[in-house]
Amino acid sequence: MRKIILLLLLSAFISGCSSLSKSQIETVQQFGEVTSNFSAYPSAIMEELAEIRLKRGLYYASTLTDPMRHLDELDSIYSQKKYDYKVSEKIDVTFRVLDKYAQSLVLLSSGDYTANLQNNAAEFGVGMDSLVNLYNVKSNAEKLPAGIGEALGKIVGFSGDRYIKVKQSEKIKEYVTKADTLVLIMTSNLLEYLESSNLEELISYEEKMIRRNYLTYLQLTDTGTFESQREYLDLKSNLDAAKDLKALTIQSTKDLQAAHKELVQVVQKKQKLHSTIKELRVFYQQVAEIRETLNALKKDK
Amino acid sequence: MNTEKIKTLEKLLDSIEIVENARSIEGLSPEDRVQLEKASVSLRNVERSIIRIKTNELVEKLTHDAQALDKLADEINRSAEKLAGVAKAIEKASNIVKAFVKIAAKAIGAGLI
Repeated sequence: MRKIILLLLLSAFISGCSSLSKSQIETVQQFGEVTSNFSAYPSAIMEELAEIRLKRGLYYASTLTDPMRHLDELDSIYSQKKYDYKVSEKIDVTFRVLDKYAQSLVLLSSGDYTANLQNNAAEFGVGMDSLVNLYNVKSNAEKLPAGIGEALGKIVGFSGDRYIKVKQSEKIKEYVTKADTLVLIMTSNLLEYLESSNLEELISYEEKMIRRNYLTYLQLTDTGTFESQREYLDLKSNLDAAKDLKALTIQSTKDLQAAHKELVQVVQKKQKLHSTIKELRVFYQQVAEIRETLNALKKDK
Repeated sequence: MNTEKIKTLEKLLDSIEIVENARSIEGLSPEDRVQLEKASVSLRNVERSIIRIKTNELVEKLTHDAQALDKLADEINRSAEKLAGVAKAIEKASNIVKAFVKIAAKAIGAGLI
């Protein structure tokens, strides 16, 4: 009860405080939703390379004539596979932090906080009006004005709604601004990784080794079976997909940087947004493209 | 042959090409074949070592700086929980008033007020 009275008193003060517009909050929420699965993309490149390394390794192992060496090679392939997946998991965990940040933005910008409150305030108004009507019928005293309950309900709803929206806006502004430098550092690290000569060398090496190992397989074992030839072509196409994935992830990381920078601008300005900001739109399209490439890769397996 | 001498995969590939091509030569003596196979396996072990070194270098750079954003995400989640708590408190307070209104209505109906 004390809280309600306090809210009523605060309502006049709160209405003067600025909160983000509905479209600004929706922009934060949309950004959070699109970024929520970003971590999957950087590690997917390493996973793809690991898969290629394993399969081309099997071609090579089949060319070894000594059973012990053959077995040792298979053991080494297995140990390399475990290592590769551990690395990919490490990358995944690092970028899940970005997902976590994005998901926390979705939660913070949720409209659920005030939805229940509005329903409750409306019910409160109806209950109050029935009471007033009953009072007016039963009492001989001066009649109370009709519709006062609805008005009171609106005040309760409005005050609570405004209070939460102002608090929500303050927090969104604070956190999005604080996170900008951190997002910039993380995405810059990611770009350094994606554009490094080491990664380029690893990809280019796998490309050459697919061919080299298959040639050794053809030279030292019977001619390729229909199945092995098909697998050789699949390996080549998976490598192309890994290259595409790398290019797309580079672009979307740059777009993510630009989109977050724009998000900071959006929450700092007092404005209504009539359409999606260009930088955000470009980022969303880029993410959709990566998803398609990843889905195509999964379909191949 | 070790990773100290061959640092790039490109250089390693040259050695692999030579050994693998030699392995496919027809008419090799069984002894030569065994020696070439051993050399080939050694090269594959060097390959895995270089791949691990390069991958480690890549990942080390990446895993820095994630902690600060992780902490901020935790802080945001706590704020979201607090907001939900405030909304719940307001809802609770308005429920108490609603209950009070019901009691008052009953009391008026019964002529107690």
